Amino acid sequence: MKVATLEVEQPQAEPSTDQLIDRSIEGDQRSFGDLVERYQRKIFRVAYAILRDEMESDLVTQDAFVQAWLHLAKFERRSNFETWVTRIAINRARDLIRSRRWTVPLASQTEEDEAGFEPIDDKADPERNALSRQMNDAIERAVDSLSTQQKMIFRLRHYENLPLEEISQIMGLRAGTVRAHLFRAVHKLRAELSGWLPGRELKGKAG
Amino acid sequence: MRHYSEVDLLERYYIPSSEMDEVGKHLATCQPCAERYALLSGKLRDSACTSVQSLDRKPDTFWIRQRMSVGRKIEQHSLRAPSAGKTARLAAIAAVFTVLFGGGLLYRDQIARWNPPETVVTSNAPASDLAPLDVLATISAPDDVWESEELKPFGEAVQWESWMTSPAISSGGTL
Repeated sequence: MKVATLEVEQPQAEPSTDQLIDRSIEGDQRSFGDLVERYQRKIFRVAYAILRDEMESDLVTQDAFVQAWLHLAKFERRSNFETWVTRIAINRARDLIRSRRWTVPLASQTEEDEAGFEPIDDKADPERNALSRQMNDAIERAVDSLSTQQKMIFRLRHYENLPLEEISQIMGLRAGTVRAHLFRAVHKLRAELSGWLPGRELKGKAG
Repeated sequence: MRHYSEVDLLERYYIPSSEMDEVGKHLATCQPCAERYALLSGKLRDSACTSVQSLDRKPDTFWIRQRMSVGRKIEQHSLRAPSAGKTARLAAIAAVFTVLFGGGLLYRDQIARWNPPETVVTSNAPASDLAPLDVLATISAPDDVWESEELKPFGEAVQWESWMTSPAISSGGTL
């Protein structure tokens, strides 16, 4: 008796990150391209959170992936691929921030930010947007006086809202160290934002 | 009861702590402070979003270009890597050749030093004038060195010198 077999085409499952890594190690650049596509937005956002410059963040993102490709065989998979590449990008961004100390800025960071950003949806709430922008400038002024590491930690927390555990993981620091750096950053921020945020008068009042 | 200002609540926003700590307990029970905390969180989130909003609006072409740049840089590295390997291989071959050649020269020099070449005495005289080896073997050295064949042309002088040192002369003999 003949049994008719019906071949049903199953939808191809998307390869896992580990599978893509394995193929990339074998030299398959297309698989690595898929890895880049999967994580480039996250890496770019983290780089931008730290550097506050789109062009530099773009370069750092590219460099991070190129370095990842070159050292993929050494990737021990103790952490996930995303964390590993993010760490590469953070190290590169740190180098850039440090090198900035030796370059004379042509314009202040605030001016750059204002010029670099597209106008956000002004129709929605222009006043609120303007206030947000001004407040962000004040935050950046406070952040500018921080050390490189404090700056990076604070920006990852503020702009990307990353949990402390993730920050400590991608920066290779202890959670306690990250917390201590954040304390110092917030201390500076309190002084800078005291004009923006109402509040000291409430102290001591009975509720 | 102590209330918290927005500035005071900054720390709680950035450094989350247990819900059971002093501020957490207070926020859970105090409506005005909870509202103030919500307001602060909104402001800070807005200010952060304001600056990253442009990132979310990036067109697909931006990400495609970025991927292409990564691909191009990887290609460049792959092209550079074999040529670097080739150079290294050539350098290694050159080094081995230098070592071998230098070693050979040194060895030859050392061998020459340990085994010096035998001194060859050449003569301008025609080969026929030279005594054959068997003839040389038969020549015996004279007992008296003064009777040597080589001194024949100087016979008189030699005899005179011999006279000077002769015991007969010294004892009063005649010439």
